[in-house]
Amino acid sequence: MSRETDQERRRFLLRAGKAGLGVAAIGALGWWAHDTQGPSANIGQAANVKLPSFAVKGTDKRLAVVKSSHRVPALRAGLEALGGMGAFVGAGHKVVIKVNAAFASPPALGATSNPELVAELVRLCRGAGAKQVIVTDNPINDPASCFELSGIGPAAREAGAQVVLPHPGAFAPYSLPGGRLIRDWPLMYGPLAGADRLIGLAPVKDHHRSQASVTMKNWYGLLGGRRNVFHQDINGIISELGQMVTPSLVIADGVATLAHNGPTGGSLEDLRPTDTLILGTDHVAVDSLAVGLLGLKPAKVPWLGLAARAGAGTTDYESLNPTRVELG
Amino acid sequence: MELSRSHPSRTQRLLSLAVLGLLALVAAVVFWQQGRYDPASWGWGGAAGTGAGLLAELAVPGLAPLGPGEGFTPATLSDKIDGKAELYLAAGFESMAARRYALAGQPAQWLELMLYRMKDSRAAYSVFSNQRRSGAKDSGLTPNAYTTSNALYLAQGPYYLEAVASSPQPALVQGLAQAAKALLAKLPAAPSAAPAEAELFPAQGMKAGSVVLLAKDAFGMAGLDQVFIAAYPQGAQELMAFLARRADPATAQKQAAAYAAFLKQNGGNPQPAPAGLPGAHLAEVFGAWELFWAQGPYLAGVRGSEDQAATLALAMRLRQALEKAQP
Repeated sequence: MSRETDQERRRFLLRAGKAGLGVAAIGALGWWAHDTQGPSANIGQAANVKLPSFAVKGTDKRLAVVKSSHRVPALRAGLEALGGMGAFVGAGHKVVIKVNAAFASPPALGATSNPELVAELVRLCRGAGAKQVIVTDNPINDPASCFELSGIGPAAREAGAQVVLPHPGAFAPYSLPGGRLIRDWPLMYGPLAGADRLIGLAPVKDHHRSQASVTMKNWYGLLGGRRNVFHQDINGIISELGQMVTPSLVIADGVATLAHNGPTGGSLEDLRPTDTLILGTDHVAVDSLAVGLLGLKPAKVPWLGLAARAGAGTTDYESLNPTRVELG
Repeated sequence: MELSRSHPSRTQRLLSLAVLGLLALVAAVVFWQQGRYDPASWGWGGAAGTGAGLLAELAVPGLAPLGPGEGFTPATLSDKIDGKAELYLAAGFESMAARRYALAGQPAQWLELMLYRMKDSRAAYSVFSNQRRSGAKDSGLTPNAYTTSNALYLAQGPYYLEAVASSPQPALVQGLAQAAKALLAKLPAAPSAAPAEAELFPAQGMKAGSVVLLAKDAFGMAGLDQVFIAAYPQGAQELMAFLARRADPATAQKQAAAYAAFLKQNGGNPQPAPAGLPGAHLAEVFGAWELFWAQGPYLAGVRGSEDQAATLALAMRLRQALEKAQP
């Protein structure tokens, strides 16, 4: 009995040992195959690019608010109030205008930058001596359709700009220094390479996730990859975009504000005439003023506070002594 | 006996080999599948058979398709509508098909049909009601359909249609109605009326078309789902009545207590219940009043007004309306 029991125990230990080895082998195989990093947004370039400041010396803290129902005269008056286009753009400059061409929707719906405003801005840049004006965005819809159906593409080309659509070669990995979200992420750097000036032009819109979409949210269109993952931290990403870009000038178009069902809208009834164009060099200040057109207070819009605390600008726009122009 | 314990039989060997073979097959399939992982294909069935076919086959007199259609899944919806995707996803989005059409011979005059397939008719009603444009006109196509100057919106069963024209040109607006009619003829028959709760609000004084179904996390409280709201303008202010049907009276009571605790945590100041509504919860929240209670399986209440008397008056009417509905 004792010998039989010993044999049984030996057999049991042998089998248990084999089973244990099997489990360990499978575990080791799984460990070896496990990707602790997850899918990378890196697009194969060796080094991250750096995004320079596009701020123009001597123009900081400039802010103008123009009341008008007509965009073109409002733009001219606003720029005049800031010292003229010559204060921002000079002879031989390469100027990039980052529009909001996010959707393949008609201009009348106000979900994208207004084509008349784009065209006039291009003409003013050219008039100030710009050698090259690029109009660009990385829309979430099909880029060609977005630029054509929004009217931005034809208007920009006709005014003398080069429309640059996103393409794989235009992206380079970028990390925001000290950033939490924008790390090793594809940035549409191609159009920005060698640029002297960067101007943001965005409509003022209601936004289902972030309450408002204005000029800082507009920089979202410089990112590539599966950027919708950032919607889970929409306030954080807009704040980081505000830190990522130091523009030469931003323009918030609130002549007609997309006040409901943003950011896409769809019905003309989603728009509200607010007759306001805001121009400035501090995009936090410009956006803080613009959210008022949506009936929001800057203190109630978290991404504004986050961006201000991170040093991207000020929500206290009155401290910049904005120039107010009434065109009637 | 000893032999049979130490050496497995032929049948046992074959069975063991079959099990091992099956495991190896599973491992091979997993390995093969993960190499071609597509998040869009997990759990939602992709865009195929989701309405894309309906638009692909749609023929509308006077309209010509502008290119092929597009299909979107929960993983890709934000590629089409950006941040608004969250509204649809929270309500129970399954898929969306979109296609543009132009007036025959006038490619610059175009419209776009966006057909959303939601998980059920309540989900479709939720996205329909959340985006209803004020001052819109009933289109008459279904009980839940309206037009604006350049668009037509409707909910039918689990489908929600947005038809948007590039301009308010009459021929395009007419095209919207024709396209919607043609599409409705292809959709499966389904109840298109609003969910029953939407009919329970007191009709007198209610703002037309103001009933909205909040699918998820109503009033900022996690888990407060499937809540109907309706607006009651009174002078310069607007009161909001709300109600939500729960599985049973005990669940409704529990949620009323949870909502009271939520308000307290967020700066609400609890007050004694008014005499007319024993057992109700009353709280002052940053100058506005919240009055709510459990009534049978319903959580009901009134919020948003600085006028306590007006809040109580509307609450009493809502209570009576619910009593009539479930005597």
